[in-house]
Amino acid sequence: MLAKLFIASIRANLGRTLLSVAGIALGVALGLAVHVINQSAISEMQQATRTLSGDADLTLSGGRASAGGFDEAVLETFLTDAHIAPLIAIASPILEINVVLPLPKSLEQSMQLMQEKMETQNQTTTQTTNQTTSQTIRVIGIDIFQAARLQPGYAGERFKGGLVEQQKSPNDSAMPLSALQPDSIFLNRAALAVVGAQMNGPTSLSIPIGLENKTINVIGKIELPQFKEPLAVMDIAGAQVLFNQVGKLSRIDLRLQPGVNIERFRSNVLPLLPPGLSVTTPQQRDEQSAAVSRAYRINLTVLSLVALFTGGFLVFSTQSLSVVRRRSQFALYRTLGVTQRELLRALVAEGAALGTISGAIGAALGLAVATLALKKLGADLGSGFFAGVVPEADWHAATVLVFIGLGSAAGVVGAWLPARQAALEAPARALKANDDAGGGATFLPPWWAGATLLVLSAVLLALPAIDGIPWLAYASIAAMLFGVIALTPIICAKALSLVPPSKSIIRQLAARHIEKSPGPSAAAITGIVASFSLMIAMLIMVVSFRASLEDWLTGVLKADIYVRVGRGNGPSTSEANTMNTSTGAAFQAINGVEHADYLRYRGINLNPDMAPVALIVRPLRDDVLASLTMLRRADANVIAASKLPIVWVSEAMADLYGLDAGQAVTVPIEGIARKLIVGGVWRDYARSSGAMTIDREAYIAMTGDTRINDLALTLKPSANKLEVMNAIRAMPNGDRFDIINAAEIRKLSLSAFDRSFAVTYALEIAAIFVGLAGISATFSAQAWARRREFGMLRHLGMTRGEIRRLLGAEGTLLGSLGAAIGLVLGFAIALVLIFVVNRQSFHWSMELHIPWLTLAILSVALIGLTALSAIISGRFSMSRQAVLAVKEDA
Amino acid sequence: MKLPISRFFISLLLLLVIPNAAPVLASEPIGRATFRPTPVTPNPSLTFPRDHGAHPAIRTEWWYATGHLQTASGKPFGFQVTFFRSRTGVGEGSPSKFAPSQILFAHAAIADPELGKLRHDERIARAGFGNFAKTGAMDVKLEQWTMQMSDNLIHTKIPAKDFTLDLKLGLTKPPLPRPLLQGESGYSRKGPASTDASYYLSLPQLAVSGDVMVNGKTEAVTGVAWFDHEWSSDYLASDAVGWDWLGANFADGGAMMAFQMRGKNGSLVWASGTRVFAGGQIVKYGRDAVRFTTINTWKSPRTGATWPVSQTLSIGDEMFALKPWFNDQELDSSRSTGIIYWEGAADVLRENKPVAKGYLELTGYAKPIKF
Repeated sequence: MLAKLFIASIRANLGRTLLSVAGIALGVALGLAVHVINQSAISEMQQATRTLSGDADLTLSGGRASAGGFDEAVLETFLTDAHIAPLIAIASPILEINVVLPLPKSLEQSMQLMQEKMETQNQTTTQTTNQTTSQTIRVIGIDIFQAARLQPGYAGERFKGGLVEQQKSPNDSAMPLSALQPDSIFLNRAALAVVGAQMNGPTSLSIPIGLENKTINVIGKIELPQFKEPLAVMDIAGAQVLFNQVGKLSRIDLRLQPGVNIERFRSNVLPLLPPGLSVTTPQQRDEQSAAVSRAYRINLTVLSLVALFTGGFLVFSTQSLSVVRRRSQFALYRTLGVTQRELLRALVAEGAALGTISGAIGAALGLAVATLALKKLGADLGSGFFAGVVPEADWHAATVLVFIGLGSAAGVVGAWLPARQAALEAPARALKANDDAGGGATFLPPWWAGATLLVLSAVLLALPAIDGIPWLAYASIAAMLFGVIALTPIICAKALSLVPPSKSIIRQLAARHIEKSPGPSAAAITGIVASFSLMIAMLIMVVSFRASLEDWLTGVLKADIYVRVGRGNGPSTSEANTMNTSTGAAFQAINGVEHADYLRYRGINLNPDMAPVALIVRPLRDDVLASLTMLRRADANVIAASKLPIVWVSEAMADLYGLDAGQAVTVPIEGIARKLIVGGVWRDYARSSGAMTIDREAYIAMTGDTRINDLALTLKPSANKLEVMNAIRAMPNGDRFDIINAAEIRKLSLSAFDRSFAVTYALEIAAIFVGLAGISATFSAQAWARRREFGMLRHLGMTRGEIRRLLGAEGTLLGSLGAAIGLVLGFAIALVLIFVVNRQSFHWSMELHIPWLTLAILSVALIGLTALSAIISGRFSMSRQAVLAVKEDA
Repeated sequence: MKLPISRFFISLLLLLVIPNAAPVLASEPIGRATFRPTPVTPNPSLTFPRDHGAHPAIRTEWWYATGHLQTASGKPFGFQVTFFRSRTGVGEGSPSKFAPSQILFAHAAIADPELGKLRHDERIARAGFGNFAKTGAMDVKLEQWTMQMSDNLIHTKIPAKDFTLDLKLGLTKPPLPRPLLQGESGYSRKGPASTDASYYLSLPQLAVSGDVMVNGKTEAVTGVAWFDHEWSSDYLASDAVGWDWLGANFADGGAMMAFQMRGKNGSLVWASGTRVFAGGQIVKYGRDAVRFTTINTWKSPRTGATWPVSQTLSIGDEMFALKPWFNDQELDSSRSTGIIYWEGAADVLRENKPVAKGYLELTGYAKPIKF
């Protein structure tokens, strides 16, 4: 019986009910979509890794591919050691190199593009970045005899009618060894497309490696269904020679003899490994690959749930309204014998049903959005973590159920207070129903509840991150939010009692109404406070971040032009694409170049369970050091006394490895553990897994490695940038250099930043709309409840326009209160985001920048919108019915 | 996914034994080392232990041991262990240690009459990183499979997929000449051209002691074995498709080796044999004095190949019947190393009486490949 009546009531409230459904659905959809997109990217990456490692029990590596390879001697050690070798069934050595293939045409295009840009200085080059990623081919050098047993997917299928065969001999026995030839390569479909080779026949390719051109023969194709990116497989000996990596391996995939305990084997061989090498199980590698982007993913998911949170408020508003409207109805049930508990349960069930339906709709929507987004945009939401990953949507029923459950929870929580209010009301009083406030026994949280929440919030802030994720900081934000919301009615009343009595009757009425009926007003205001404060917080955080990023870029991109060999920028490309010092010296000689700094990049594996740290080798003159944003510096005496080479570590590295200025640190460089002293901690927004920089002289003294990855050219003040760039093009092999204008990098970086926060902006706007919908719902509820009051006012001679103004004044007052509280709360949350959440998640700090003007505009806009929505929602009260309502009571 | 691998290996092995692939490789594009494996010439002066070791300049080389074993309880086993080395001509002069210029592979099998088919396993790898065939003395290692000679003892250890062999083959039993140089002082003709030949030596009548592990049970074994070491750059004559071969240890202390190279349509390309009599007298037979004749064939249900598993061998004026322990001694490794051949423990009978323990090897029957 009750159920039927509730359905009838939902039907009567259809518009508003649909709005709450939309609010929750939106929240659930956003949350689920973000989760599914991230999860799909992760599992795609993990699957690719697993496919490439085959059925390996363990993988020996120098971290990820970016670590730049390790000495093959360790394989010799493993396979000749009397204790280790018998435990190994298969040891498959792998050399992995990312090769960036320039398409002759696009090279020309980008040259033109760059020149145009030099002239006009506008537009970003998303196109260029897209080109570079699509031209990168992952080349895997394998030992087919080992791989055939461990990674059968690597076995290529040779094309019929091979080049060698056609030219040399009709004898088909000439072909088989061709797979072992040092210049033979198998490509997958994507790679064949990239090089523009035919899908079913052999081709010869000329590829640029370093400053040379080398010819390779595409003799067949490989098919790894799980691997969609461009991939090439060739013999490991050929790969070592072709890419100047003789003696180097990227990975050894191990299969142990049956019965060998994997963990015991792992712990036994660990001490035998040179520094910087690790042995990991597939599970550990999965965790590692997920860990890199984990903080980013969780933060994004939390943000997307903000919409759900505001959706909960919407349910609260709608239910409040519907409870008010059905007061007499409920009172009647109660007199007919329905208990308080039954009524409460029924109303909460109503909220739950609403929430669940919304959640289901949201889940469907979220999955659709995720699938579409993955298809159209790929998995990278602008962060760069999953650039180029185009996975299938990967979701589990359990996850979807959790998100639907979140929708139900939002419905239950939103319905709880109104339900309680309805159930607690004395039926007789409600039946009489002349209470002018309309809300009856409104629930008001006591002051100490809010205060306790705020204290809890402060305590939570002082606690550290759990497992690298700022869970407690988020909890602190939530406690702060709810604490302030709980205190809002009290704050409102206090604030309004301070307002001096106005001459205007209308303003006076408006202020007193809000002051004396804190319950319903609070309901209206909480939605604003919640959504506005979150928006303000995000705004301040993003603006601060962007300003700090700009400062940082200015310091980092001190030189005018950067030059590298080949195109693309993957760290694993760096080992194959290096130049020697004589090439570097040629740049010094270019007219207009003040000086050319040599840069070298290495990946260093400091902890096998963590992503490798970038080692940046460059001349560290005082002006270079000064350009780094140095957060802390060691005492010069301490450094001098240590007699150790100096390393400058990034903030992330300092955080992750517990380092500080003046401490000694052991860093494995080229397989030898080096003791260095931390000269200082600098800010770095580029590498959240850490970076360190050491002086080139010191590095060469340690390793003898004089190779160069990048050149940083500082020009003379009189020099013309374009002329210098043309001079580089005119050098021998000039077309092989990637010449990058520092201004362009800066622009690219900032546009990448804006793209990644575009998602955030979208979430914020969604939250604000949900909040405004909440305001409108609350005003409607109040207008309904106060129809007798308005009727009375009309009876007393107030015009419609005056009532409209009364409502406008109330809206303005509420909006102002909401904006003020929201601003203060938002500011506080911003501080938490900037100084706690970002530090804990990404290990980077930023300076606080407050966009005062934007905040002012937003506040005014919010107040205006509130007033407007108050007036529109109150339109009803100005109809004839209002007059009738008074009669009804008389 | 399995198919391309097997195709790769089949062709690879073809290349290893087929001589006319050499000119093809020799004229590879610029940048690849030109490849001319050293041809086999008459009148070698083999010296030992040096020539028990590897000859990396030669295209193909193998170390081969077979024998009849018996456990303490009298249960019989046949065994075969072969290590191959192949010079591929690929990657010679490469600075990479992974250069596949020398490839090693190995086969091992146990003939168990109770099982009625072979247990077998194989390994393949490029030389280097713990895998080697050393020069100077017999010392071959492929992953955990080893064969080496020291103190008149060949020791081979084969931890395989479903069995393990750990055997010592003793060279101490008199009165046979060791090693037994086949052909003319170890120069063994395989075809009409003088380069269609191998260097070939045998060690018959080896006393075996060691352990065999089957089904998780290790048992001590004793028995008698045959050992061959052969290396050649042009093993098969251009018109040969395969061969029949027998090595046998006589109960009276004598020994016998005989082979015929077959051409297309079963024609005879070449044949040769060596008979060592109990007293130590050695008689070499040429192509007209050795003849294999089929008694019974067996068709493999796996590969469809028909094998002449039971044959008569007429050598000089002797006549023997070769009777396999059981028919299914086909070794099908086409899914990995690509070879299908028949390598079976057989009793050698004279006038229906067993006189010797032998191993019969049949190749080139599986497919129209020239093997």
